[in-house]
Amino acid sequence: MLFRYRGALVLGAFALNIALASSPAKAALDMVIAPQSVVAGKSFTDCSARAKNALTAVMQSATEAGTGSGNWVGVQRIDGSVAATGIIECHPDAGGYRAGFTCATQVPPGEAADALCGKLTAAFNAATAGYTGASHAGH
Amino acid sequence: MQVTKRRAIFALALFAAMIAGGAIAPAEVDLSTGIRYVIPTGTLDECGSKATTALGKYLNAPHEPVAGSHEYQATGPIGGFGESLNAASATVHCFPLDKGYVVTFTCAVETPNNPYGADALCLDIAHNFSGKDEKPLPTPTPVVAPKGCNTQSLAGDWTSDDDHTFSMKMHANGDIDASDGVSGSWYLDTSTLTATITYYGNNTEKLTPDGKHLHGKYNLTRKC
Repeated sequence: MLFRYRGALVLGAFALNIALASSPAKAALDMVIAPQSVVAGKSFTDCSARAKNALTAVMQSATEAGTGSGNWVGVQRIDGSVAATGIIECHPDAGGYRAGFTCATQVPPGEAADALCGKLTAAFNAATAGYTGASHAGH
Repeated sequence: MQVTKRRAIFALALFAAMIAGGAIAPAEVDLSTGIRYVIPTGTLDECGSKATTALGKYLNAPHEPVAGSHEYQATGPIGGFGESLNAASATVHCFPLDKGYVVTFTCAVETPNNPYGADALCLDIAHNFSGKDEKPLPTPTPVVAPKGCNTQSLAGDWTSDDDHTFSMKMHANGDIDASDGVSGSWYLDTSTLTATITYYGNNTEKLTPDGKHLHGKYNLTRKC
């Protein structure tokens, strides 16, 4: 009886282990560069503040890679693993600034990188005074 | 005696399950960002040229996703196969600055599938850009591709069930050469036996458990 009970436990552990082992779906790395935002007449500090706010709103995470660098990083974890990362880079340009967006995600479980970058761009641009539109040209 | 035998079987099964469980680790993104150079004099085109060269040293097909953006991207690693295929990617951004430019480097790799980390990749790309010493990166571990009908790879010769004059040669590195002269690529999710055949667009196919047939837009049978 005792052995039968122990055997059932071991079988249960075996089944659970197999289930857990097969649950992580094979994922692929997805990385994109989204169109830059070009903002006239605003300061670098404004860009940094917007970058931090956008990452916090979309990814609930925002860290500046080097104090004062204007290079902001957001990280999203799913089940403890890094599933998505977003970067907003601020660069002064002609009395205003340019903000560059890069996203890298693990799909699945993360969403597509272009979808994430789209959200970050929208959050960054929301209510941006002096925003002249997304631009890839005119450097 | 019977109890002892049963115990041994259970122990063996448990051990096998532990091995299987430990072998499949969930992949995640490893990111590196923050390396930037300020070049006081130089053009954005010069930046782009150096960026393309630096990316191409470590990754495949460096390109400017949007012409004129002065932002460059490449994917790899070079020599990637199976799990390590497209497990690394990097971007180089050239931003204007007075008479020069600022260049930044961002890298992402899929761990544990890529043979090196994002920091190592970004450092080497940046060093190639600036002409500093680069540290050799490990290459993907050569994998002996399974042969014949199997569920780990689509490598092999496939013939259409609908048109016997049409065939596809699928290579171990993920390339496809079709009999009509068109090239493509394949990817197999071995956990679901779902394949993506990129040939006149992306097509989702199901591989049969015996590894012999693909069903979907293209119905194919592998020569075993």
